[in-house]
Amino acid sequence: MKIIRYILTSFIITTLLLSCDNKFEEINSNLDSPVVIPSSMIIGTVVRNVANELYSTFNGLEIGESWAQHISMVQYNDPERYKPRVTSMDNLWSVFYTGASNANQMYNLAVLEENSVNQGIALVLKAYCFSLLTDFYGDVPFSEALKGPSDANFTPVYDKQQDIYTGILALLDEAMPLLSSGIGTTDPSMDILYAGDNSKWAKFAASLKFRALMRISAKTDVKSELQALVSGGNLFASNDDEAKLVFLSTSPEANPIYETIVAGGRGEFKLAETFINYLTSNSDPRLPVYAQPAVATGTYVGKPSGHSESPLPGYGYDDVSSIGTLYLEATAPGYFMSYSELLFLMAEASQKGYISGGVTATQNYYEAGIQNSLTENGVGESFAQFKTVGGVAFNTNNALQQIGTQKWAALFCQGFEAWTEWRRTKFPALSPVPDRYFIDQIPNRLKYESNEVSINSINYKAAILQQGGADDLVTPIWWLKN
Amino acid sequence: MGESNNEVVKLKGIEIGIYLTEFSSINNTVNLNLFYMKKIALLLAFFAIGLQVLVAQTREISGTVTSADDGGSIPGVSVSVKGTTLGTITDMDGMFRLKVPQDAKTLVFSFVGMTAQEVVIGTQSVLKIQLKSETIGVDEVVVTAMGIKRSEKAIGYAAQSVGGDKLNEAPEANLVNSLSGRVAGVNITNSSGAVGSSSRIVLRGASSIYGDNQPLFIVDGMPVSNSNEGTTTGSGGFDLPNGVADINPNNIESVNVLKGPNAAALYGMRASNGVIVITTKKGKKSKGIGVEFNQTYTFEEPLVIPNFQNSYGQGSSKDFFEYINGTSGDGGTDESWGAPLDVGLKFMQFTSYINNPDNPQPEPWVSHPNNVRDFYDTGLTSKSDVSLSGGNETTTFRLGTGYSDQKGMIPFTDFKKFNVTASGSHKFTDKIRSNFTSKFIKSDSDNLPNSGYDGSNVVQQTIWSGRNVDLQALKNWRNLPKALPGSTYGEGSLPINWNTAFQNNPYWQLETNKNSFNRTRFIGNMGIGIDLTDYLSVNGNAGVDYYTTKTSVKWAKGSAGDAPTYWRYSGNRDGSEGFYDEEQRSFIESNMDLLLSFKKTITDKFKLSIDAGGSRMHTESTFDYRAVQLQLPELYNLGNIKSGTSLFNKNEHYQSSINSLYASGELSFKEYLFLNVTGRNDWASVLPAENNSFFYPSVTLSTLLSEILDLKSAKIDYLKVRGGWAEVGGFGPLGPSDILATYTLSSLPWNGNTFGSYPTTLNNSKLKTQSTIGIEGGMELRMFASKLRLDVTYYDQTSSDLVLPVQVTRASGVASVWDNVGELRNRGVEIQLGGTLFESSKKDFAVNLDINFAKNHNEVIKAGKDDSNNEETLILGTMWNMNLEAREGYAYGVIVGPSLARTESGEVIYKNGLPQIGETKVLGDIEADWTGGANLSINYKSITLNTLVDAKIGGEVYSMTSAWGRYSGILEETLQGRETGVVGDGVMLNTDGNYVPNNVVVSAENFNHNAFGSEIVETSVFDASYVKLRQVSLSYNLPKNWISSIGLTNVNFSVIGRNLAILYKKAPHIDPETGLSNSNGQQGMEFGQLPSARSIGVSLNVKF
Repeated sequence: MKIIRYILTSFIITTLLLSCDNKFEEINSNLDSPVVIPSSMIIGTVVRNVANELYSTFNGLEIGESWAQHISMVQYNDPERYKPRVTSMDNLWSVFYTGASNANQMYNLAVLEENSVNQGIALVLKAYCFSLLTDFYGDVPFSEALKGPSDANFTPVYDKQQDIYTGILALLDEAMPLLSSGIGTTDPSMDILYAGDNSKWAKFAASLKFRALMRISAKTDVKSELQALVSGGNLFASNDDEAKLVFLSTSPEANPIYETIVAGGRGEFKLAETFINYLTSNSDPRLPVYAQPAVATGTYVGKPSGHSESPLPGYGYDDVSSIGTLYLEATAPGYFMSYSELLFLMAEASQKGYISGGVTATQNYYEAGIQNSLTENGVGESFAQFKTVGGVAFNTNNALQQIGTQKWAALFCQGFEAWTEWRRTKFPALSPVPDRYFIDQIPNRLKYESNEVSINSINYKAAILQQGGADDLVTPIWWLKN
Repeated sequence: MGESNNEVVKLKGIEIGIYLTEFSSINNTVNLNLFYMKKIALLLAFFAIGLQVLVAQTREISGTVTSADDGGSIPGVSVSVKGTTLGTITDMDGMFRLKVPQDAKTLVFSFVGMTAQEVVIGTQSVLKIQLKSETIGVDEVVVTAMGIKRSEKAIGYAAQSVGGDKLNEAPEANLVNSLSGRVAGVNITNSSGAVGSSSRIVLRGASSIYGDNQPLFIVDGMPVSNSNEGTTTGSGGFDLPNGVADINPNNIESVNVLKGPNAAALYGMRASNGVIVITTKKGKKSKGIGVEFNQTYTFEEPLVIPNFQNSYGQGSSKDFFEYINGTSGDGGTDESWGAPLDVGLKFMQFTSYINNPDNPQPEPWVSHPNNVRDFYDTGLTSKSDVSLSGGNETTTFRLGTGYSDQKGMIPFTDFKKFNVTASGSHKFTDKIRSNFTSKFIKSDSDNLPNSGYDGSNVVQQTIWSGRNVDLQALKNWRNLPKALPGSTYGEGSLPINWNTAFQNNPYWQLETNKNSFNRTRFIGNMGIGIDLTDYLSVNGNAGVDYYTTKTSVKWAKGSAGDAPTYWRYSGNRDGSEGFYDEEQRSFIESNMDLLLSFKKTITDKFKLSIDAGGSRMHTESTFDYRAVQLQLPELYNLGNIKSGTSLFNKNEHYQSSINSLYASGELSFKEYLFLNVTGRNDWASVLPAENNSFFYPSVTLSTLLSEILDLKSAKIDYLKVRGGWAEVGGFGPLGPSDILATYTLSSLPWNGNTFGSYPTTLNNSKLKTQSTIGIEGGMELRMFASKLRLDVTYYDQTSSDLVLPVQVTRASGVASVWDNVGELRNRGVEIQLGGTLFESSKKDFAVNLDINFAKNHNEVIKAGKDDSNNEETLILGTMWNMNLEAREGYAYGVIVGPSLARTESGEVIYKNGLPQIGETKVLGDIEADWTGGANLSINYKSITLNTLVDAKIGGEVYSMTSAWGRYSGILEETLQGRETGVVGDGVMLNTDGNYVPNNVVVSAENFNHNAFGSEIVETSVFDASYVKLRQVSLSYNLPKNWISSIGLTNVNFSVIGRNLAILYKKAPHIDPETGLSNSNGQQGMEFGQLPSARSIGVSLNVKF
């Protein structure tokens, strides 16, 4: 009997041990992370991550600014010689798709909240991310993109850039009425771009649409849509409207350029000779704002771009001009889109007859673009004098070149936009750097994220065929093709 | 017992004279195996004591039993009168007294692990018996899974054990390293020679793609955590010891390696990578308290340092150099393409400002060939252990304490470990027994070195470097001038350095910026066993493994480079403001199990034993990470937060459970045919509720052919053939809460506002466990009185439905998704061959050789779900342009990256004299073709020489020390063409479109910048093969007659060496045994290796 008692006891204990099974779901619940959050909480995530990526010195400066020949590196200038860091190109892909994904989820949360305004903000952010993605790479996943969570599609096809632009325009068209619907509100503390001011989001949506239309204006007729935006009167109307993130004064939320160059002490980012030459030869009042005098000579000296010697004899750290102090401030803003850029785009549209107003309007937009850029740089008072400088004074015969050049000058430190708009307009005339690694021209695009060949290989290979070239830096994207 | 004690003493007095005369001839062979046999026997003896049956005697026989191997007395030997049940066992001094019937003719002496001896009594009344050891006893008991004991012959799978004595011949700080070369099929990679570094151990081959692939460790019957909480990646961080490194090797009795699914099946889910069963030392019955003392001192020095060039200095100008402030001009360049050294040039250098701060003068431009070697200190390891043990019939105990103190080769690094262990057993009655073990371990370090590609890895300064730099001039940093105006780092505040654009003074940095570590751990378990009947018993065990780990990183203001840990979470790259972080973890795992054992002889021929039970495992862990930038300099406290900044805060909680039921049965036929069957069902909380129950079966068959066929005439002592089939499972890297989709909150608020983001890894409610199904077969052979020993195993195991977060394109909206994908197959052979090469007739001179060999063929059968795509791949880790991947059709862990562009016939294509980049492809893999070890031991009288050589042949390593060292011009290969230029070997495209031999001369600098560095991976992938002289130890046992007079029982003195030499390798500049840490994704890649350590020292062991 004693034995039976022992056996019974053993089995009772064993059963007790195992009877906790039903608590498994409780054990496995996540104690730290919520299943649903307010949609407003996502705005800051997207804006902060995108701005940090665009203004990262490894991206905006080494790739964008050096290809636009605003910036040249004293040392470590491989990207400037058209050998960009692979990790930087890869990060652009993942950060912008992650931004689009977060915007997509924000939209879904806002739908549940019945918050139309936040739906609109989500759509603008999504459109912004996709517009940069397609401008970087050309054909990218769009129609099937972001459908992993909803449709278990983890191998999205790459859409033609033409179709992506159609889609981006549709997103913005959907966003604008939602933003002005007045249904729902945005938590101002979470909206680090516009502090919950929906009317400014609506203006950003319209201005972004204007930019997108201009990008594809050589390929398709965008006249009526451009004119409708101008007539609608809801574009940026002042520097107060423009989309920019004002970084915080302290690391790590300071402007990434400040983080790397000032706090991180990486002094190799200098002004390119091309850009200094433009600024000095036109007596551009932004020269002392954009640049510092060289330590060695006290004069403004540009660094010739793209030489293999590092440092290039005679152009060492102290021999050439550093970036101006305004742009090295911790709180220097990160632009998503500036008012002056819109004005230059409008000037071009007017000059090309896409929008009404003729020569007068062209000149007005052009000069307003310059004026707002000077104002933004704290030298607005020099406008009257500067607009009379030979190369700057509006000349209708040379208007497109002037508009392009002034846009290029105004986009200082907005590396990707400066490079992208240069790719489109080819103004001002820039020559490829002398000691190039593999290609003989200023790049037309970036290479796809390096894992795409492995993890989405069928669609990746189809995209390369579809674009009619290789996954390199020279294959022209659709809106660049003749 | 008191009465008989008197007699024993008397007997001893008579015997001692004989004993001493015999001593010199029989005590000289140290057979270490015997040591353990005796211990096991002693344990058995305790059970047998008191069972002596009093019978009517008419005659008394007494005597002693000693070992023919070492002359030592053997307690616990069974002495019986042949053909009767009369008998006794020898006491602690190997003595016995037995009353026998007058007609008794023969006594039988038997002892586990020794050859039984029959002695004709004749007229003798005092016998002196010597027993010879059976090197491996046929009836040896093996502790298998769940602590179930089986006789060795019944085991149907490969298991190999290593005695604690082997591990302690030349002790390693990390237990895992001690197993290198000892066990066939065990792959060990020590990450580096830094104190506190981790080691990776993989049995057979990888069975999981993202899981850690390392075996389950069981210590005294309970699982212990082997996790590594270090932060190392290719871009910085610091390594920490893997969890099992906490176990003091000195407390280890034996390590049993259960290599495959068959051996491990009864452990279920957690055993898919095999199991390592560690048994710690226990007390035993003794007359008094046994005391053992160990002291070891070893000195460490770098085993491998890159081969540097010493002909050209810092900069890029052939005839000029000027140190302005370490940032501007050539003095800011951290490369060595500058002016020739030792040709009488003089330049302003950093030493000019050190030697003559007020009026710096140009100084001779000369080489410092040993600047890097001299940078490293001589490491010193001191290890002390003391233990007390003893016991009586009912109770045993062992108390031990150990302390080790390591000073690293990298200046200002250290590691200390302190442990206290206690174990004991008690028999309440004949049928109820209990035992416990407990270990308290505290390990800490004031500073562990950084590794990887990061400014805080000081080795980086020797690669991105000027070969003219006299690092010694920087040593006395407190008295050096401050970094000059214009310095990027430390201007006016920190000591001067040879370069201030990218680096801080290395000595300042190591002494000021510290990575500290502190772990407190308790491991304990207790068990109760009850014999319900003579055929049924029940055993219950409960155990706990609890630890807290705290690490912190301190960076002073002005520190160069990216703040590595901070960066991982926030994207902040800047360390110049200084910062302080604290990372705290707690972990607890508790286990309870209950096992019912049934053992019965059914008929004469059939015996049956069944064990059945259940267990419950529960873990809870927390993780806290907090970081601040500093307001006041050099005050490292979370309250010292820079004004206007936010506290970075991350706080996580996890828990999980596994409940299990299992059973194991053995049916034997005539003691030569054994069928073993096991089954286990696990329920795991981390899996989806509807899919969390899994059953794992195994079956093995073992036959003792030597018994069936009677092969004694063929000199075969033992021939066993075995085979088996088993399935085990696992859940790879799946952790608690991974099957839920949740939003993540930002750890660093923006202006006080917390944001949220969508998860980047997608859940999957259909997830199930992965499965490993394996077959194995083998044979064990012993011949010529066990002088030749052979064990061969073949296995073939396939792991499928691997659980992993599949990397998907970010364009899908997430970065990865949990799924069951992929399949891995491991096939191979393991061979252990042991032989007594020579043995003198007196047995005082013997040469033994043990060789093990393993060849594993690993193949990734599937790396994704898509059957049409035959080159699917999963990325394990990355370093610059190199990926470590699991790619279909290749071995696990291929090195993938851009190759050199080549023509169809394989010639390298040049353009403008520079090699062009070709396609991104597989350039190598981390899988060795074969591994092996050879242990030669020579005993001559009291002297033992042990040498261990181990080899890992095949596989590749990507060395960025070579890549950047070529780029920066510091390596000796960069001397080629310095003056004349380089014409690369290959072809170039002619104007007519044909390839012609390349004839364009480019500068050595331009050539090395292009052919090496990060862009082209192929040029820095090397064969990782090595053969290492892993260990040499020479030990001497002081003669017993010397030491016994001062009350000691054993004194052993050894000279020991570990990692003495790399006898063969192909990878230049580095030790090819390397990893950034012990995790999957950090293998096969190297940069700025903290050099592996050659360790030489002395050891003293005293017992009394």
